[in-house]
Amino acid sequence: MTLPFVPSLLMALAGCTGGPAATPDAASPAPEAAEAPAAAPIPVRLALNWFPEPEFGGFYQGVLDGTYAKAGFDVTILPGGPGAPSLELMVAGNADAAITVADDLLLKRSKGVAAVGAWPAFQLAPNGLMVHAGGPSSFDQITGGTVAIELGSPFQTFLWKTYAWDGKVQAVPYGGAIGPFLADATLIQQAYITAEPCLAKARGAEVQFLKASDAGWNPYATVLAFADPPPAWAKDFVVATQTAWEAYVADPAKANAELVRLNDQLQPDLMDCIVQAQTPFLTGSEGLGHQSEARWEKMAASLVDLGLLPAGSTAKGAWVELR
Amino acid sequence: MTRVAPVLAFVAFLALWAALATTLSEVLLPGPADVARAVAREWARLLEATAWTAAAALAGLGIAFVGAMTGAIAFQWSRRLEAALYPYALLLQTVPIVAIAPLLVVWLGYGLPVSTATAAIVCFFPILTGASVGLRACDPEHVDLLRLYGAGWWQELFKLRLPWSLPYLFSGLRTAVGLAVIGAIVGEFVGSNGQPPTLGYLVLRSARSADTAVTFAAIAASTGLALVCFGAVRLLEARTIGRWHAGAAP
Repeated sequence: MTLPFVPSLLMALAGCTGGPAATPDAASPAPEAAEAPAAAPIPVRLALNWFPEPEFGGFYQGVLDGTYAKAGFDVTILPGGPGAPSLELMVAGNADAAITVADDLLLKRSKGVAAVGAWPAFQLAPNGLMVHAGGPSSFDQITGGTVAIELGSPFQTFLWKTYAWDGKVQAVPYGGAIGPFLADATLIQQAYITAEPCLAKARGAEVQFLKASDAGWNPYATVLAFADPPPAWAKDFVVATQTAWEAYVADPAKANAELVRLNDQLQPDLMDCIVQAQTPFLTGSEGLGHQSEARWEKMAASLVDLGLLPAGSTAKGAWVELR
Repeated sequence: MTRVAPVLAFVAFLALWAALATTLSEVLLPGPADVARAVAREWARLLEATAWTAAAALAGLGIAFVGAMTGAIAFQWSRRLEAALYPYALLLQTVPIVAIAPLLVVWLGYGLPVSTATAAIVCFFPILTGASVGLRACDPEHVDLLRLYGAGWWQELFKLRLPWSLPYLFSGLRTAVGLAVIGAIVGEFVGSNGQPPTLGYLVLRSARSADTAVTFAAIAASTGLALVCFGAVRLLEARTIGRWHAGAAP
């Protein structure tokens, strides 16, 4: 019997490994890296805001196919988890770039986190509500019942205010497990297009996904952010990121194989479901990586309207176009 | 009969669990057989996750032990120091670990450092209390005798107070060792990104995909880990003071 983790465990106990930045599990550069410019590559630690999943596929693609290396970067991807403080990790100096969501970026900037959005992977917000088949097929059809959702989140605040659900729809905390949803045919829960609907289908449930954007809540998601002001290399990094994501959308096989290796929850069937579901959300109607002032300002205005940002707040300075 | 009773209670528990599981979906409550099958299927993953969680819990326990013993000896050296710092040591006991774990991620990064820190925080106070009380618990007449013979502060500490404190210290350690495993898993809920995989990560991910049998298997592994750690402390206690201290290892 071989236990492959024992050497690394002994090394960790001996203090020979640090955090994830030092682990070899992140995708390694491809042989093409040898063609990198003669100057030493710029090390970039990219902090994700969730576990390695297809919603970050383009970043892994950029590492695996050498796109980042060709652009002069040595990228280490730091996976996140629940409540991942990716922006805080970046401003604390533990990462050089971070993945976030537009509303989170605006809220944290208002609290003094000096970060700026530079490139969104998701044109359409990938979050929404998951409903059992045969249940409400739009937000305005939800007039009662229970919704499991992150209490106090901007999305929850937005839904309850927009649809006047106070006193009609009960909000209960969502702990990240879909078991309660599967066991209760009337329960509605928050969901990410890259996660819960496919997990529920894999468990035999028939579900519908109500897109947050259909309710009017449409922040850019999987937004690549830098410290504010952005470093000098940010433009080159954004350009390489756009190239990598275009390659990923065209053929995700290589990066997905790496994601399956890094995340043992991603079985091939599940991966197929997620990739199929997320692609329209990535490209939207404007195309991959597009940003508009109107979208950013609409998000800021929504947060002001919800009382989450001070009156008069705008998205000015919160995002930059570097492509 | 005394030895058979716990076995009978366990069998009764399994039977009740199995009966209850037949009335509920496996997603909500898998039966003992489902969990056993999950263990058989996922044993390598469970073993690796248990090893990483054990590493964090024991490292946290070790850090807490060194810190608490240093603190207890310092308190013994100066009552004023104790009066000044003990209230703040008590604060550690009241810190909501779940609330500060995200901050620990920002300060320490993902992985074992966070779960080691949370384990150390929850272990610190029981050890400090046990050691502080123990160092002060010796018979004053013994102290007077040592001082009569000209013993210095360090001789008094090493020859009288530390040996005398061992039963109290082990009492604190027995509480702390179980807390170390819980503290590590709580830290993993927030601070583990799957690299390395840990029991907290396994619980989180399996619950997310409604693989409840694996969640139960991971919970069973964490319970087993805590029991093994507790047993190790009991064994150490029995080997060190068991022969001469009647109150040891009740």
